[in-house]
Amino acid sequence: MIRIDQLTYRYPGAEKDAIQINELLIPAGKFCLVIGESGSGKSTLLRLINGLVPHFTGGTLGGQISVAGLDPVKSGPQMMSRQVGFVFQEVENQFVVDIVEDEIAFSMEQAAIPRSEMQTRVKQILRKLNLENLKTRKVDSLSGGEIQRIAIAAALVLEPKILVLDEPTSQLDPLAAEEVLILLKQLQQDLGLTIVMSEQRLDRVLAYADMVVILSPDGQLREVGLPQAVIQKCALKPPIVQLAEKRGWFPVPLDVEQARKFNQDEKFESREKTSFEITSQALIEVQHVHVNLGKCVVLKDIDFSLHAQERLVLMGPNGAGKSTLLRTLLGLIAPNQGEILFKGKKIEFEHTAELSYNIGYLPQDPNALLFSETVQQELETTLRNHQIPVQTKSLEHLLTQLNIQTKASAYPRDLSTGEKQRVALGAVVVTHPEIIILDEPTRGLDQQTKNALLELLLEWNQNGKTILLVTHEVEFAAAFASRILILEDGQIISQGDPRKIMRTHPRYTTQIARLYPETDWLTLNDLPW
Amino acid sequence: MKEKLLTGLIYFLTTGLGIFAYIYPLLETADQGILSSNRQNELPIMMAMILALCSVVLIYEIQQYRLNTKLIALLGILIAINSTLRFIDLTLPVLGGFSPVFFLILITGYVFGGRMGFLMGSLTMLVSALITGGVGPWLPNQMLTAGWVGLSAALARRIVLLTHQEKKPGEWITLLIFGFLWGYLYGAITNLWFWPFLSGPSNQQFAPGSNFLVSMRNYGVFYLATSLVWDTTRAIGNLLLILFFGKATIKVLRRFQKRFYFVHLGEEN
Amino acid sequence: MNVHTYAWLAWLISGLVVLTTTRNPLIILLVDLILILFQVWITPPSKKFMGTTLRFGLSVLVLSTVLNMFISRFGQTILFNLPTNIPLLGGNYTLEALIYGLTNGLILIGMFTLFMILNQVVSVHALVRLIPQAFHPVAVVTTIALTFIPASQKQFQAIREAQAIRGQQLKKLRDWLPLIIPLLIGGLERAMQIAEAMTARGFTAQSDRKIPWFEKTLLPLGLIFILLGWILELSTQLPLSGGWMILAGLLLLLVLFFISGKRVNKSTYVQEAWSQISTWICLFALLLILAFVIKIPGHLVLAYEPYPLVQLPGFSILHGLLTLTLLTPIFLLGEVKHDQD
Repeated sequence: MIRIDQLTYRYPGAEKDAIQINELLIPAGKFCLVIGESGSGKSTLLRLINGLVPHFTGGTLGGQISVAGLDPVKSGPQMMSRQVGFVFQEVENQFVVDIVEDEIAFSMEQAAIPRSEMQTRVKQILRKLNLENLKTRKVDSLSGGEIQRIAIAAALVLEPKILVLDEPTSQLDPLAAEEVLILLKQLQQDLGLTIVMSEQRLDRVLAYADMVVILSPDGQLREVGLPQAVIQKCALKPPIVQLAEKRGWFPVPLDVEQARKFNQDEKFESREKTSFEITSQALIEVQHVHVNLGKCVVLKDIDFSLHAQERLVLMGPNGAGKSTLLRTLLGLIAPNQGEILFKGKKIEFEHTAELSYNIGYLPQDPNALLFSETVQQELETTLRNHQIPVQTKSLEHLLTQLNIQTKASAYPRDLSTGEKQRVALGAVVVTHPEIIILDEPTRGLDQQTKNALLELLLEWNQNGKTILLVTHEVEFAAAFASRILILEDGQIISQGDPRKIMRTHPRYTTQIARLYPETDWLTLNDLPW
Repeated sequence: MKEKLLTGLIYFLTTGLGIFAYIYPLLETADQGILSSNRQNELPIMMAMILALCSVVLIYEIQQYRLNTKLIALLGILIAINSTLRFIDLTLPVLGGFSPVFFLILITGYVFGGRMGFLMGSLTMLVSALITGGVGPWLPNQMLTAGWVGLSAALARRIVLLTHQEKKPGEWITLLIFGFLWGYLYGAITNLWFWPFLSGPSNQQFAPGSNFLVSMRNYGVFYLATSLVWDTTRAIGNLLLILFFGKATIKVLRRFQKRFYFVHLGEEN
Repeated sequence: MNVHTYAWLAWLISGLVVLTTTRNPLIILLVDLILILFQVWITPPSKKFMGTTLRFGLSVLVLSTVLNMFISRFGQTILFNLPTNIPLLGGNYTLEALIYGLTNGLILIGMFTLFMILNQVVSVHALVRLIPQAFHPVAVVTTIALTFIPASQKQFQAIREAQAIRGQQLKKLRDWLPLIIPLLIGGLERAMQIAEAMTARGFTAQSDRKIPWFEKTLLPLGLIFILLGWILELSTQLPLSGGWMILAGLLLLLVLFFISGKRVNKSTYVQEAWSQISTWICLFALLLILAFVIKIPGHLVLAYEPYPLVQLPGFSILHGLLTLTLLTPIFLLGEVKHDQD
């Protein structure tokens, strides 16, 4: 279906090729997973398939690519749109029209398909994807998972043979991500679609793929083949694969289900339960807080404390009110009922700007912070806001900690996602706050960057910082948390020791914990061998 | 060359037609009976139609030859941002005719050229009218005038280039002057829409031939009485916005300019 | 409400025709009252609009009356005068000018109300769909803008919070820079994403430059015709010659838009359903237009003129009754509502 031969591509003004692939063949009807670090050319490869590269981006291209018998470079994206459906990474940013059915019809309008046929096709695709009830809804009233499925419907409505998705699950909570993946698998089987998808989080997608393409950081093709074979050569394997390697399981299991048959006979004693107690002083106390946004009840009777030097992780599905809770802690939203105390003092009369001196808060979208000309200035701006003199030494130290010391004079907006996030983090912690709050800091990061972030946060915690973060990633949460708090539907349904919480709530648990439910193991580090 | 002549002609004609439409009510000539009171009612509608025609022709000319997909998306977004800025509660005392929309129209025209400026201006007015329920016969008038604001930015650019004042104080002074003048001009031009309603039949006590001057005087008084204060706040607002945000905004737009103008050669085949 | 947009436009035009063909203050007042009644009917009771409408109407009336009295010193019924040696203000102030100005104000109120009703009953999307095919790129720009406005507002809120949590407070105008710049950059980045998504879904702008030569000349030609026609109309005593030229120019432009509209090879998904109510609304609108344009009995009262000596305006019952047809949509829709109950 897709054949690549001696392909090189270079972005305009770039010094080296973004991608170099000698040979790649993706057969029809396969579910192909493209993995690699950020900057390895995954997006470029995907965009080559429908001609966006080079038609949209410019640059120089060498070699041959053939997709569904066409040359995308010659045919151009408009003609390729009949063959290739494309779902972009930040899916909510790709919508042109604000009503679901109109949005789905957009590509058909461009293809001048007669109205009556458009109506039939919209109906069909909505039925196929089980979205009929959303037909006349406004796009911005939908949940992340719904938006993702609408985007898939919009991409498939021209009945293409190939569906390309750029990190389709990166913005979703685990449940919604699972649903999207199941849908994709089903579409692959029912329609005979060829699916090409890039992804950072291997643990959940690996089992769905028929083949895996690994790109190296310099844009070369490192490995291609069956997931079981290729994954072992991948630098960053999901925990289950690492476990299989250690234990010598073969063929390599790709998810917990496949791994079960190897550990059926293994029996383990549950370890002695260590008592879980918090002795340190409470920094933030949230007392029976209720929050309404408009007519909507978002938080109901929230009651918890954040203690000194804790690593508290807040988990829960999208829309549960996690971000609202964080914003309430910072005084950005006033609670309708209840009190929030910071070191025993009510925060309701304190301005957010003053609170933020002691509480560093990294919002979900780091882009919202960045506006200065250089990284250095970005950090200095915060200090100026707080009327603190700039000390070059301490700034340098912070930049080094964040591993962006070489980017001090770079334009923040031109940096990679991970770097931008660290600049934003620097901008909020430059005042050396006691508490650091992070809202989904792992979003859109590749595994290496995530690990680096984890280490940095653990180090800061060691040095006395109290950290509260929101994440969907159970592996990250398991590796980081000293306590977990689960928020669903605006209420705290559970809080306590990660080992206990993760075992009682199967939706928030790691691969290892699922494989060994009788134990209190969460990560590979907990294993006895 | 021919092409250039043709577009030049179009701009010349539409501008002429537009200006003519605006001063036409001031030219009322009682002796010819053109504006006998029976026809006076039609004037605003006629004016609206002529101005709509001018806007439509210019928009057509620009979109036909200049718009690619990226610029379409860019315009859509810039207009949305401009409309957003318009409705932000500024938490600052905002007086009279102050409106932040002209700032971005002027800057867009300055960076992306007069044509983009024109579209930015006229379509900002269109979209604002759509979302506020302000569609009416006054809309063509607003669209054309706001379009001219953006178009005129190309003139500012030319002045800056000719005097080699790029990134020098001259650039800012030029932009400041443009913003300040448009603060008043926009009000003066758009008010003309009401003029036929308010002016009444000409005073026949004056000698024929001096009618234009009389009308001008009357309009001047009308403007001073109704709009001067209002428009002064707009002019000063424009001044402040350019002063505080001009440099940074231009810098941001310049960063993106290259990316938006790129068109792959294959696309034209 | 299943009234077709075109039917609403017909209704609008009939209202405009009435307001532009008469200067009889009584008839215009009647039309204004009918329209205000209409607006009250379609406005949900929760919205307070009577206060603002009244205030607005009153200020328009006062402004137009005072201005006309000041500008037009013509007329025989002098109300008062100021010494002529006062510049600008000196001279006679007449009742005729007052009535003339009042009539102007009434017409303005009528036009505003007509359009306010239109804005209220026709959805934004329906208005965007009125943009002709030849202006497809503009329609897309408008659609993108409308889609992005709510997102842009959300984004602005996020930025505001993000700046607040790094200690920023909004005290001076300059403090807004950290809010505006990220909004702008985020928007520009998003514009690239939307453009990319549109391209991937088969969108191309009409950028082909191989437009036939004759088509390129149509635009300036049409404009020249219109301009010349207008000048002729104004400067000569032959009124028709100019009118024909203007018409010819308009026709040329229409032909151009038609041709280039045909070249846009795109279909539209949404189609508004035409309903019987729409037919009726159109018919009544046509009736109203004809009644005010054709010289039917009583047409003389339409051309009321206060100058030079004020007289009581006449009233034509036939015309008065006909203006009631502006309420057609209310009657028809009112029935529909009862059916649904």
